[in-house]
Amino acid sequence: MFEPTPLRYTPHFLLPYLDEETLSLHQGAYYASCIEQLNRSVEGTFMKGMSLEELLQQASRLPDSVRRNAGAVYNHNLYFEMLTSGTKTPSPQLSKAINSSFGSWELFKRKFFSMALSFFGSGWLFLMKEYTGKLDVCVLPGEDNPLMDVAEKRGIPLLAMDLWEHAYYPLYRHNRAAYVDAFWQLIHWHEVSKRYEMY
Amino acid sequence: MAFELPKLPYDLGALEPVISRQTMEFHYGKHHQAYVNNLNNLVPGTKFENASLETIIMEADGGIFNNGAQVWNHTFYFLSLSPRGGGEPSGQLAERIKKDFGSFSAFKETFSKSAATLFGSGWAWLVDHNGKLEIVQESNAGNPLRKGMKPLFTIDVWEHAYYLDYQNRRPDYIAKFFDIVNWTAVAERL
Repeated sequence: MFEPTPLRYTPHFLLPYLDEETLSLHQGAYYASCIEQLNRSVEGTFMKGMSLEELLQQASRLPDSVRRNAGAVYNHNLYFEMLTSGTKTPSPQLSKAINSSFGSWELFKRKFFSMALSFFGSGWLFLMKEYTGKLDVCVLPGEDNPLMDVAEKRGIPLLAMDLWEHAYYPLYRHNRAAYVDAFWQLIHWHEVSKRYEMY
Repeated sequence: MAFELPKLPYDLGALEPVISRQTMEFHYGKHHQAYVNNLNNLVPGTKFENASLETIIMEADGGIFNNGAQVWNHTFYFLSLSPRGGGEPSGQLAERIKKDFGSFSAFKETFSKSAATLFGSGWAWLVDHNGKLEIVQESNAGNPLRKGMKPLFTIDVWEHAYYLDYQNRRPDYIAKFFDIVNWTAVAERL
């Protein structure tokens, strides 16, 4: 059985960048329903008992409902985990990797924003570590994830930004750009750095 | 000539309680308007500068397709609605629905399921496909004209269409939506 990961913070902790209504609908309603649907979809099948990572790695042979909900649960876990109003600096190791992969912090930021703003529809933006060790930014549609064997860009996701409208609609409405600015302010670079060093 | 936001034949608060004034102010006033503005910014200097929306839907790709199709889709959606809507279609539309789906309630059930199960952003459509009525799903800005089908009716299931009023309960939005469908306007498209 998959269980929802509780938030490490109270919803108002992320104010003014994300408000309690947006977060509690997102985490308490949307994400919780993905967990329920995932549990229902794997029940009584060979997939029961597999970890999220195992499911994602064989996404191409799983039913759509499992691919979508396993992706959604994994992506949302990572999304909520990497938000904070606290520490905002990446470790020296991660900074170095960003500089060597993108050219500079500014170029990384520019790519992150331009991909987030030009993406059309529902999906996710990831900062990911490719299997060569290089970092990159990618956007994937739906609930896809770079761990999936079907992803056009594969690697370890270090940071996930939800670009479905539900992630920002109560607070930012049609203004995705304002949400992307806010998300940028909330990135828990300390946790992203730990994750970079772990993989 | 520049593309324009169409005028609606009802007040933005007129579809309440099915769709709130607030949702309409953003959906029509911001999203629909933004697609119009984006399209007007994208077409100058391209072969679509003086093209119709239908030509753009059939031939364009990328940003011009996305924005052009979204202008068309939203106009088509808003013009299918009325504060005096609901009920069931009559006349030829009713007969054709009965012929191809068995009954209006069977049609409603299939259409609702199609709208509810569309994954991500997009639209569910009732179309005329070579003389037969069918229900199809289209992702994002997708439009059935591109597949040689004639659109008759649609529901927007992008989250922006319902999130303020129904949050993640898309099936509730779909169920209520039938109370504001203007079947007379839909029948005129046959």
